[in-house]
Amino acid sequence: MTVIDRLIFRCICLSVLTVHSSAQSMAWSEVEHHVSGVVDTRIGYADSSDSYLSGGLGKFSANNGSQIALSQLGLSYHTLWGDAWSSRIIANAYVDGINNGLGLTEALVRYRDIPSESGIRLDVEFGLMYPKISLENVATAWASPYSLTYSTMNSWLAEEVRHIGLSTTIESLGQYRQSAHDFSLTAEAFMFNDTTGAILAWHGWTQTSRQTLLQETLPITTIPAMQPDGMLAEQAANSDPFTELDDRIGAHVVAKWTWRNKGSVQAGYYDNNANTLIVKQGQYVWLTQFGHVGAKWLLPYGVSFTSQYMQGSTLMTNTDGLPVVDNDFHSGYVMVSKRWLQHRVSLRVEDFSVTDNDETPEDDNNEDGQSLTVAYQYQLDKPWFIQLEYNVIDSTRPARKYLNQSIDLVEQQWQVSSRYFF
Amino acid sequence: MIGVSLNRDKKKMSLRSPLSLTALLLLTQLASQLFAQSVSAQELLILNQQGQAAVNVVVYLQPNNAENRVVTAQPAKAEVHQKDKQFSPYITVVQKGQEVAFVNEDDITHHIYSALGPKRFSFKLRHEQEQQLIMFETAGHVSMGCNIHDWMSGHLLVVDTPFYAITDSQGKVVFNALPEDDFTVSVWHPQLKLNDNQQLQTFHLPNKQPIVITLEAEFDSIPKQQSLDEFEFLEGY
Repeated sequence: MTVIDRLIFRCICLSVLTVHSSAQSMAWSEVEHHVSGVVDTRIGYADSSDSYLSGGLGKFSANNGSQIALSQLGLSYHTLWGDAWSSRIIANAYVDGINNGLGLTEALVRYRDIPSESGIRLDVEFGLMYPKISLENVATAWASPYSLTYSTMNSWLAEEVRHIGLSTTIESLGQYRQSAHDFSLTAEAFMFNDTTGAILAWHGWTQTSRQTLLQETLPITTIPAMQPDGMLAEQAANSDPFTELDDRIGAHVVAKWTWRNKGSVQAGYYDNNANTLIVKQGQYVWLTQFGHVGAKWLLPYGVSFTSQYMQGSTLMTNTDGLPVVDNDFHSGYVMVSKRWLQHRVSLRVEDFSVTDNDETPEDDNNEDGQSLTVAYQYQLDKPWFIQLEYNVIDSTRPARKYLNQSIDLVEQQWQVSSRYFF
Repeated sequence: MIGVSLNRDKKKMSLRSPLSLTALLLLTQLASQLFAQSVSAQELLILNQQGQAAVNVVVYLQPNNAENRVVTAQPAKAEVHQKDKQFSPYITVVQKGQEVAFVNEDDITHHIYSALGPKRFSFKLRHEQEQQLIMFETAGHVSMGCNIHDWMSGHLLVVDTPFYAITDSQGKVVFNALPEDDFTVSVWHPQLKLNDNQQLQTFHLPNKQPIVITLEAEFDSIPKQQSLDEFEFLEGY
């Protein structure tokens, strides 16, 4: 461990001890408990191939054909104690006949005191959490208010970009300056995400609302390089997205400007600081670094605009440090949404790619694609939404030839959902 | 919203006959009340820079003579509600020394705090209908927020006078009983782009004619008190 690693590790330990003593000093009756959740049941039809969830290269969570699924049963148990401390545990369950599961997706404690007299607020979180990137996933249990499927970049976060870490945000609230402008800077230090990038390399971008459960591992599409004589023969059949292999701490920083009632803009950089010389039990360490920008803005006529873009690289080497998988990637989306009365219409377009820079034979990770999503939401009652959604993804992925599929593929999906929030 | 009315002292007369005295006293009181109503009610019309009604702005009057600030009537009860994750009303005005009740009408916790002003406070209202009483002893502007829902924004103006009101949909306020005096008339709104968010003018009141005040500055846009994500089930990500 480096000096910085040790310092961050001590901070994490100190925060855990502080939370523990704070909770002990307060009577149980003074702790507030809240439960919220979402039940999302869908009927759908996909014109695709076998889903990535079952080890295929299909970009949706559904296999080719029709499907009825409990696409999300999300439960959030929230406690508050004192003025500043709270905790949140989020569990999700999925019953789709492809990969049923029940488990934790987030679990964290949070310190968020009222702002100081100069309007500075400290917000600290520790636990299993997402990096603060997504502008779509803001509803209960990380659901999106806008669409059933998340954008490709946020689907990737849901799949393998999560960690156990410490997130510290310092905010300057404009209300204290009689200003409409808020500024924040978030610094995150994390571990337990050393394989981040593997799934993106081997099945590319997906469009899903499936969040990997804490105990889950992700099936890797069979590729020739993973055969006994291939360069990836030592790779396990499944990738474990929440494992710690190199004892190194990664970091993410994001700066955000919010103009109240008008919009927000953010920019950040993520580096998992991984040591790629390590492989344990078939799990290679991947060095994944990316920058991201995003904006959410209210346009005239009540139209909301949301856009995010990320660009970066992921590297996996053998134990001698020679690159085995060396990819650049990007993904971006633009979404406009209009809500009126009980109706909401959302339109999202996306562009994504993976560029394979290495010479490893029989492991082509290249990909290039575009996507369109059209979603209509009708609010039957305050907590109950009916949603219709259409997705189409037009992509080129040479690795499909390993599965005797067409390299160029247009995949489509139609879904009707009942989403009940409580 | 109107402040309080001022009861004027009645003039005393000396008469010889007790019966005539009673009758005359009654007549005098009646005349005095009629007189008082006709001369002490004061209407003010507040217009924005474009000459349109300035709605929901605070108007308060400070008499030149300090004795005229003393009234016998109790000030109106003041409540600031949290409803649908918004402060309601957006602007509240109270007299110095008055208690304000903060009432949570939502079924979720709010963590109310003051961001600016002479009174700093913070408290949680954990469930529906929970209340917190706060006494405001010092005049000034109190800007309020919620630490859980950052888009919530409310304002409380504490004034050192019993004569205060908020303009109606026609931009009007009416003070039913004013002592005769020179008044500093303040028009205040948290988004009024002037020093201390207010415009001051002096008038001798009451005046039989409505007083028309045209504001010399524009308003900043008034916060909508809603998240950028228009959705009822946001989770604080």
